[in-house]
Amino acid sequence: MMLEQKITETVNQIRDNLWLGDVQKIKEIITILRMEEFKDKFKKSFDEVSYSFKMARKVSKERYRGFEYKLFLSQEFKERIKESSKLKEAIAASLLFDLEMLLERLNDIEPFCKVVQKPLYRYTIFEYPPKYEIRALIDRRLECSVKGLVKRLEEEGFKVSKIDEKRYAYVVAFSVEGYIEISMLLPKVTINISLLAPNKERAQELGEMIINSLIS
Amino acid sequence: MIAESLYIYLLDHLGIDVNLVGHLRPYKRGRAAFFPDFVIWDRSLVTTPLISRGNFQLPVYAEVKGSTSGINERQLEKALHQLNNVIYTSQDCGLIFVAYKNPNYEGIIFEVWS
Repeated sequence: MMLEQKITETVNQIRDNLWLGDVQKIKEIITILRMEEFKDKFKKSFDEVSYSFKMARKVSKERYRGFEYKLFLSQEFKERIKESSKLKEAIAASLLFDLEMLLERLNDIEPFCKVVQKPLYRYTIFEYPPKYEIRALIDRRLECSVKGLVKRLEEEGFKVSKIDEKRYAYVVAFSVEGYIEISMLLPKVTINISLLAPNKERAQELGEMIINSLIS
Repeated sequence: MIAESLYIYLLDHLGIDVNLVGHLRPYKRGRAAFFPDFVIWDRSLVTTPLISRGNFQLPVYAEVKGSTSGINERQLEKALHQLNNVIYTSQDCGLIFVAYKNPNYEGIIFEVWS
């Protein structure tokens, strides 16, 4: 895998983990990337390419307006860069700057919620009693189906009122115990649970049951 | 944002590993105004109907435009200009995705080569 490709993949993994609230995992991922080894090279490419763009823009503005301006700008910009690989490195550099900034910000942030580790997924639970939001990141290699989930919810006494399943699945279920809204776009699953009476353990139990049914 | 989300949804639906898609729109200003909206690093694009030739090099660049009315020619022109900044060789490929309301959201993909 090319380095630029690896950086893109890492940035996306970090965004997923930011959504989950797993600060520790983000720090680990950034450390594994070992940015310092290639950061300077990519930064140099970014500076070169962005300077070329700035100069091309300046020259083009002096000579042209409108449609011709943009055509000339592209032509002038390409002539100044010479190597197209610099452009790829400049793009990767931008993503790296973002990671660097994020790492700095995270230094002062203590993990703000407990991440529950399971063999095939990780999840966090945000409490707003009697409402609970569970965010889960599922192992990317897995496929999910709502069929088993509907059966399991019905066994638990829930009436499933709405299912929409294509690439993205959305399920709504309710019972005398509470109301559940599940949305899934892999690898992310969000479960909003509103219980009649506040009970974190029950919300957690329902959350795990839902995720296990989705992946089984 | 709706058009960008739809585009990622479409890529995912076509079997592209969206983990290998970089979203550059947030960085696209000032010194980096030449950036396209997305870079796609997944070679499996070749198996999708998005690209008709197999001899392309990664990344594939993409511009996304959204409209609440019909397709807007000015938007297409802007997208072509943007891709023209990053498409250098005959192996560089770009994609333009236009999402518009008619009355539901519909999308069109344009394949762009040097």
